[in-house]
Amino acid sequence: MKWFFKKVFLLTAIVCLAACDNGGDDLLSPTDEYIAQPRYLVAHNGKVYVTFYDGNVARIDTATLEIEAVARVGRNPEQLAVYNGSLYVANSGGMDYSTSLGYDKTVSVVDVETFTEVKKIDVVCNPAVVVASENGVYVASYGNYYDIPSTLQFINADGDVSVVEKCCNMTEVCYNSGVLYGFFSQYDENWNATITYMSYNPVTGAVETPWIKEQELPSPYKVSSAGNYVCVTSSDYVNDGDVYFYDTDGVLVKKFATGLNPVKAVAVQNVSQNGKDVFYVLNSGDWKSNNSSLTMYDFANGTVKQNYFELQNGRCLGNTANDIVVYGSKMYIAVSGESTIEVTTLDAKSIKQIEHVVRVWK
Amino acid sequence: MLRYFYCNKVGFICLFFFVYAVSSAQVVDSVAYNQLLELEVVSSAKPSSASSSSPLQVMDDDDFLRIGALSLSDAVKRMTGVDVRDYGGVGGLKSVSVRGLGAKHTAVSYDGIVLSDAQSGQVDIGRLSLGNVGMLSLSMGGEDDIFKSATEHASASLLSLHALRPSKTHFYVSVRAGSFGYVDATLHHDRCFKKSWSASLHGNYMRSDGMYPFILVNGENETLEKRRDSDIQSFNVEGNLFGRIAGGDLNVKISMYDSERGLPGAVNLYNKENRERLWDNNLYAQACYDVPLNRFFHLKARLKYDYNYSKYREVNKNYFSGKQTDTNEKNECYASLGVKYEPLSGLSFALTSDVAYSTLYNNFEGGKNPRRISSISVFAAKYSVIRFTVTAMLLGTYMADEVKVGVTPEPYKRLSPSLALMYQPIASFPLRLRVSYKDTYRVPTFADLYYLRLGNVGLKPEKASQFNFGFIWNESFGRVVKYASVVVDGYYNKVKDKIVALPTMYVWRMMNFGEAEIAGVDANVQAELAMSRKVSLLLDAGYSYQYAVDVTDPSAKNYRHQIPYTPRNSGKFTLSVLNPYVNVSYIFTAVGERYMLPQNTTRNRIDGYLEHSLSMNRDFDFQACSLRLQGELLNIGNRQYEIIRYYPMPRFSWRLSARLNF
Repeated sequence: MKWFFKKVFLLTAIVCLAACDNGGDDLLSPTDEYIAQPRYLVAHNGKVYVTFYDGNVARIDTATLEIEAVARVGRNPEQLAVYNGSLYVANSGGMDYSTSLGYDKTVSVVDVETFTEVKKIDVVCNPAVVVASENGVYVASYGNYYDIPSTLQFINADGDVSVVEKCCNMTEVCYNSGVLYGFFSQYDENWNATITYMSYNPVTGAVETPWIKEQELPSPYKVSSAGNYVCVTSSDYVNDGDVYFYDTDGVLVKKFATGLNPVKAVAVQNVSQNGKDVFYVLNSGDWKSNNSSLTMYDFANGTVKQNYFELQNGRCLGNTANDIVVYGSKMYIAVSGESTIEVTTLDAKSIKQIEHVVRVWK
Repeated sequence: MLRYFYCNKVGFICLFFFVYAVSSAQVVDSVAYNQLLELEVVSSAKPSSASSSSPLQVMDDDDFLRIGALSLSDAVKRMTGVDVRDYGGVGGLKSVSVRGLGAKHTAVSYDGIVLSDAQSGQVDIGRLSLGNVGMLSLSMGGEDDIFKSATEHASASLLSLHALRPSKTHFYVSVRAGSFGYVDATLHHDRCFKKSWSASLHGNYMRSDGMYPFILVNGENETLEKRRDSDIQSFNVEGNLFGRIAGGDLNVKISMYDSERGLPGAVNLYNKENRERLWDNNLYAQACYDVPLNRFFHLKARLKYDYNYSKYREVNKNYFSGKQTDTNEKNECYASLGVKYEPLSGLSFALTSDVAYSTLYNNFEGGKNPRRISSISVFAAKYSVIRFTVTAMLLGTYMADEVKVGVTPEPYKRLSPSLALMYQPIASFPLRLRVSYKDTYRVPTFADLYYLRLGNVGLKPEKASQFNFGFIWNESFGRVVKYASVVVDGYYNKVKDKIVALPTMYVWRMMNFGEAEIAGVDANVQAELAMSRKVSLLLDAGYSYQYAVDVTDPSAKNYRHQIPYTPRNSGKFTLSVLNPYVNVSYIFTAVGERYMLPQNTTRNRIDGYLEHSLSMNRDFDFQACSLRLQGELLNIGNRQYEIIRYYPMPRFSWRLSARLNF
């Protein structure tokens, strides 16, 4: 009897030990489909262009709301802008920062007609912000958060790059009525930040430091141009943020509380009751916390409504909404973590959720 | 790099057979030896929670069987004053936070040596199976056994595990099955040799699909989803040797753990795809020798070598190569020597010194590959008579790091005192009062200091002060109430220079940021009633109140808001009926609302929940062997809840096991 049990015992031991190895096969093979992550949007001529973090730009038709074409650009593209018949796309390469490959340092130029990449322009590493002006494109590179600081560069119509001499360090920048508004955040070795607010007029060459007339915000997050205003959002990354609207002279017009990590404000002009503007502030929330939201601000009667997308649609935006644009009669929101692009009316009511953008790895 | 694990399975098969062959070679008269061993074996005394000067909770293997606790997290969840941060599923990370201090302030030790992770500073208690554990104790803010290793004294709280000691030669085979493809197989062999020597060998294999259904709420919509990429497979072998040499007790342990699991990640509302996997290999060998030198002096020596290799992989087309692979290899050598001096009965002094050398190698470009020498020493004095105990300790910490690339921080040095008193005011009445104070110091881990881009070498250690006062009453009445106790403790903890990850513009960075204050009450009632000669009732009820708030900056939006994942109110209740037919236990947990972020807004709120479970077991004795059947029904109410936001917990699940002893 005991002999029998001992044999069973040994046999089970052998079976268990042998059964234990597993390769963990979730690696993608070339024919697998995968879900791509939309990052930033720009609208032009009846189309909306969106960058995908896997290194592509897609073109969405605003009538059919379908993705029509895809063009390959550099690694981990961020913002994009249209200038002179071309798309300028900043390739950050941020996902490979811990490998020997490191950050990318190019801007891809994609021809709008043929929708293919024409050339790559070398810039300072980790370019992210792209803003189009009348004479060219401004690109702000974030640098490597170590010895290469954030740098503002200008690409002219011929594709030549130069660092903007008068205003060479800018972290976040936007363009309103011929002037670049933004700020530079600089960290010392103890990670204390010094914030410098700068505005630069490329035509006159005038630089204003600071351009904000009142007390400066200690923890700015992003800056965006919304209608006639320059909007600076403030966040401590942990608690809900605030939004500050300044006119082009730097005078504070309105301040209100918003959701977590507000990234951008957009103006929907002349739609509210009194024919005045309605503003939306997109809050990206925390990565993987499904707490991105939309805050609506009605300039006419001064009301602020939080969680406006959820109020209008009975469902939430989801994980990390990254960018928002208003074009024609629709609004487009790129929700990075959900791989969706929400298309809504100007009152944030959902028209279509372009979902699960599936690509095939080539 | 040293990566012999993938060949090592063969090595372990050989080791297993070798040990078995050697032990089989000793043909002995089992009857005679069992009789001898019953007289000679000295089992370690179970500490008394009723007379401890700091809060102490103890569970043994009978308790684990009764409540159906299979892993360390199952058992710890039943304790009062503890929050287990459970990320869901069998393979999900489970870390323990005691009285709001966080997982990094709780040390876990196995047979006297702390299981360390110099890299992350926290132990995943979900991995530690109780299959080979005989006793578990949790002490908060103090420890009456002054002769524990210095590293065990260094943390704010200590979860101490002790392996089962063989009492007679036997084998057992156990097989378990459960919901979501859960299968577990264990082989165990205890062998007793002559002259107080014994050994045990414990092998375990476990797997689970982890594809449990859960309800996802999105605004007004509720959908039923399936948890994906939540599978786990693990293999564990542990060998223990117990013996006596030169009048002292020796315990040698070798353990190997190998696992592969999917990391499901937090649930998104729309995009359900996540391709992250984690592989872990751990091998350690430790020895502990405890010998009385003469009437007054006692010596304890400990030695350990620990090797850990982990690989994380994310498959994602956002990476140029289509995936990101992070590998970490950790080595640690540890030695401890302690001397105890007892000049008079009741008075004892102990001086213990621990030294450890740890290295970390990871594959990041520009990774710092740090090395750390740490030395912790504790001098303790204790005076204990029938109605009064006073324990005082002074702990000194010294840690120095060295990095291959970049700036090295200054060495850390700190002295941390602690004091505990216990007093029974009335000799005839079994009520004891206790007061304790402990100062602890949590040195930044390798990840805090050196993680690429995130690490910050300027970090100061996190300081925690704990103050506790309470009373214990315990009694037995006649033949029915075999045991009854009421324990109530009020406490105040203050944490300064909290090491937290803060996003700064675009990068996360570890910073010393914050001060937290935690004030609370832990109350616990236990009773054991003998209903008849064969039937007894066991009751265990606990309630905790935790006011744990952030007090860093009065102008901040979260000033005096409850800190994340710490419920203000929580309660537990277990009722067991032990009888000759089938032992049944009803287990109940109630946890109040919590917040997922520092700001207590409606958006950040996580609902409270109630969970009911049932556990049953029965032993069948035959002539040549015995059979134990055990079953658990978990979350009978089928309630969908989460402990960590967007990491849903399984709803109803079951487990069934059969164990054959021979």
